Amino acid sequence: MLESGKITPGQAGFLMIFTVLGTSNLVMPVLTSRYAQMDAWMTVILASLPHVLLIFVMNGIRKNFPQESIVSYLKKITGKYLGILIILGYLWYMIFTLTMINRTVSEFLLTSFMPETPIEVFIIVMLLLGAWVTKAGLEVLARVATFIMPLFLISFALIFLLLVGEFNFSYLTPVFEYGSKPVIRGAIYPTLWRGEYVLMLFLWPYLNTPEQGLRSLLQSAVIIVLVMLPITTASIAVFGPLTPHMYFPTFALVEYIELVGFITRIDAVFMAVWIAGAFVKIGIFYYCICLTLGEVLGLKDYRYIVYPVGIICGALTIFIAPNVAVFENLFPTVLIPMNLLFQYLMPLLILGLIYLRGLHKEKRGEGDGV
Amino acid sequence: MVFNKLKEKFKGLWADKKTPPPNQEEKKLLSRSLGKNEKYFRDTFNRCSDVIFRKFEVSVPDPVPVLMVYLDGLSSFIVGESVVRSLMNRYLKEKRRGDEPLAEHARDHLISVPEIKPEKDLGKLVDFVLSGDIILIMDGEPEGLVISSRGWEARSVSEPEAEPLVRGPRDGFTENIRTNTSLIRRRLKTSRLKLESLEIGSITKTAVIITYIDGIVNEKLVAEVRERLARIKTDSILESGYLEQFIEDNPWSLFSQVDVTERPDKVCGNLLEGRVAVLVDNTPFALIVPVLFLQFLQTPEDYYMRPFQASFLRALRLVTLNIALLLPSFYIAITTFHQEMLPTSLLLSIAQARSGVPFPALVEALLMEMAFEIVREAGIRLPSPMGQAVSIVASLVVGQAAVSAGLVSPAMLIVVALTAMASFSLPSSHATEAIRLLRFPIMFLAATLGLFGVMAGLLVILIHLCSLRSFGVPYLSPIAPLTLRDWKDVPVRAPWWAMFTRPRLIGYKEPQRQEFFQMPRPPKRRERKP
Repeated sequence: MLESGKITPGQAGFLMIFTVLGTSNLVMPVLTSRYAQMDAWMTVILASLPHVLLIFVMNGIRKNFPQESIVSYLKKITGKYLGILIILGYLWYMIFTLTMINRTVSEFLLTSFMPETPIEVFIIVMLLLGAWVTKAGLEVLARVATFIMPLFLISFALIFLLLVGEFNFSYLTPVFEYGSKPVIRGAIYPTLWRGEYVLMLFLWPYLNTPEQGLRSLLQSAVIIVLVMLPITTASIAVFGPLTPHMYFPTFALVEYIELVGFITRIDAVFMAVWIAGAFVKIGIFYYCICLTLGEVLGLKDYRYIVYPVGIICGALTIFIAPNVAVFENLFPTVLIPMNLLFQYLMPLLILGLIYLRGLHKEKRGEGDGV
Repeated sequence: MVFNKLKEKFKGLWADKKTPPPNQEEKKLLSRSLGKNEKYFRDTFNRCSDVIFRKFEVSVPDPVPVLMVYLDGLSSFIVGESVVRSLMNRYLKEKRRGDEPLAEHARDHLISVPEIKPEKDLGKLVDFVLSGDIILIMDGEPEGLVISSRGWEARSVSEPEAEPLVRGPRDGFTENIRTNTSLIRRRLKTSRLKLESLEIGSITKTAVIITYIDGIVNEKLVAEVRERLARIKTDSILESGYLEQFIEDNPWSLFSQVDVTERPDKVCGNLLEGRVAVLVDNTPFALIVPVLFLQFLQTPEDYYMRPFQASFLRALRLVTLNIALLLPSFYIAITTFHQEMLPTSLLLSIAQARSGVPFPALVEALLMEMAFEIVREAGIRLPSPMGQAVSIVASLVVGQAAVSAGLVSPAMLIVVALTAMASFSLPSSHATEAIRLLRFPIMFLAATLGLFGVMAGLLVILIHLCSLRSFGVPYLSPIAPLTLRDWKDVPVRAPWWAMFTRPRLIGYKEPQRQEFFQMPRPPKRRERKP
């Protein structure tokens, strides 16, 4: 294995919280309320079902191959060539998601703060930060996440607490105004975002106590619900029917905050904290790409390919869409099918193959012998 | 081709390196003839005016010539006198048995000095002379005697000037390593306190002592310290700062990974947590490893104060750390990019104050920060009577005149003054050094990218801090990696009865420090006196 460091299950939970909340705080209420309208807050809860299922599926997969990385056990499950094909698919998924994250963050900075700065500046800065944390390794990435986590959570708590007075709960009623179908359709976006937990397939071998991973991942799933529910509720309760038509509603919420009469427009401070969160998310994806690609290519150290990967991702981030409108269009047309395939179908498929080929019994037999 | 020519030209340089260093002396033994030995010592200490040769005769019962060599100023006069007196006593009561060697007889019966040992090696005898011992060589004897007599003029124990406290012991380390070890030993009266001695530097032969408490410290850590110190091949160690740079984990980091103190109580507190201290002769500054970043925000006094005050001060220092690092950058970012963050009235007054200033905020800030750094440096290096002159010039010229001349705005002046005070409020100059240097790049980032730039800079620092280790211990623990058990001593300071355990990553060999549940409570009703 290319990584010598180990992280604790708690740190893995922190990392996974960032993969979901790192960018979803910016855009999630818009995407869900486009379908579910004022019932958007329910989508958060609904999305927990596939999310928890995914965690259990991944736990089922890794139980059979406790000390192996996904690259090596996929070859055992599906055969060499198909395994590499699946891994390449995952690599493409991760590279594409990284560029989408990076573009979202950069667009956010561009439209909200510095409209005159070329977008390339943000793209390059974020990728450079990701490259450096990737070079520093998994342990450092986990520690950075641990350090930023409290700031990140406090920022959400502050939004909720400082805006309680502005809430208009009548926006939330009537519940199920358009029936339950839009809610289910709206739940697809939070489901996809939380499907990024699939990165645990790549990180699980590096836990120091892998058997506790399931517990801490479930805990982190609870934390995500506890954060996303208030945020979605807040943006609907404050902006009401306007929510689907905004770009970054959570951010607009922050602009709404006014503290003791003279502290206003503290959005720049929140922006700084959220950039830190988005940076961790970019770092995790970046790390997983380099680690997996390094293993597929048979390198001694994944650090050799950190900068080449960065150049590819940077160029892709710029070429992926000429403007925001085209970029937004990528979410339903490309992201949804791709994410559904790699986040949910593929792990299920792998688990199914393990059981079909009887690999789980083999492992258990060995375990009994020892 | 050019390279080859250069190589030809400087061939001599490379050739020189291959010859063995001249200080490697062969092991020469003492000769039985006093004349030969005397010639050796006279040759060795040729043109050394502080070496004293004293030749006299001992009659036991036949007269035997004896040579005494010592360094004037390094050896105690009283010991020297007692040696000469006891040997020149004509009425020696004890008669020597015929077969007993004279050296042994003198050691066991004649010389009344506690520490005395035989030595054959000439090179070692020379070393002993150089470190202040008296050596005695007798005619016809294969062994010389080394009489411990080290004693020289030294500064007495006084209050440490760099780390003053309001409440706490007033003694500090001195330049004498023995005094320093005695200051530690006086506080830790246990045989588990180990003091391993070694010598570093081919010319200075500086005594270095590794100290730790056996059983509390992690042996791997001690072995690592020993190994890193043994790796040092140099001619001189004049201060513990030399060692520090040789043994750091990441020498290219701005942040110090070794703590420095001249307070014996701080060293003892750290030893009790399972750390290792390195004492160096001829300097009052001892090194402590491993160190955590947040330790730089703590003082020994935190542990002597009541917990509430100490916790408040620790929180305050966290704030001042951020002010010292970020305030100028925040000012630049807000005035150039995020004016909307300011309340309107404040924005107007700042804009008014800045209206006459010809520079952008970055240049203004750089000017004032540089001025402040210059004043600070000037104030430290000057003798104290002239320091007043510096402060007058600084406050009048740099402060008032710069504002009235319209070079800087008063707001900028407030920012710089606050930054300066904040950086002075940090207890360890070690920590402020990095903060002081990092302030400038972050100011540039703030001027180019606003708060996004500041955050990017902070993230780079965070990545660096997270990847740092001090002797294997993560620098940012117990925050990252998270060790909630240690938080009783890091962001706050719990009362002493609640400090059950030592830091988890450092003192895990013997984690429990004291009995649990010792909170003072009022006596139960029955036990109360009527």
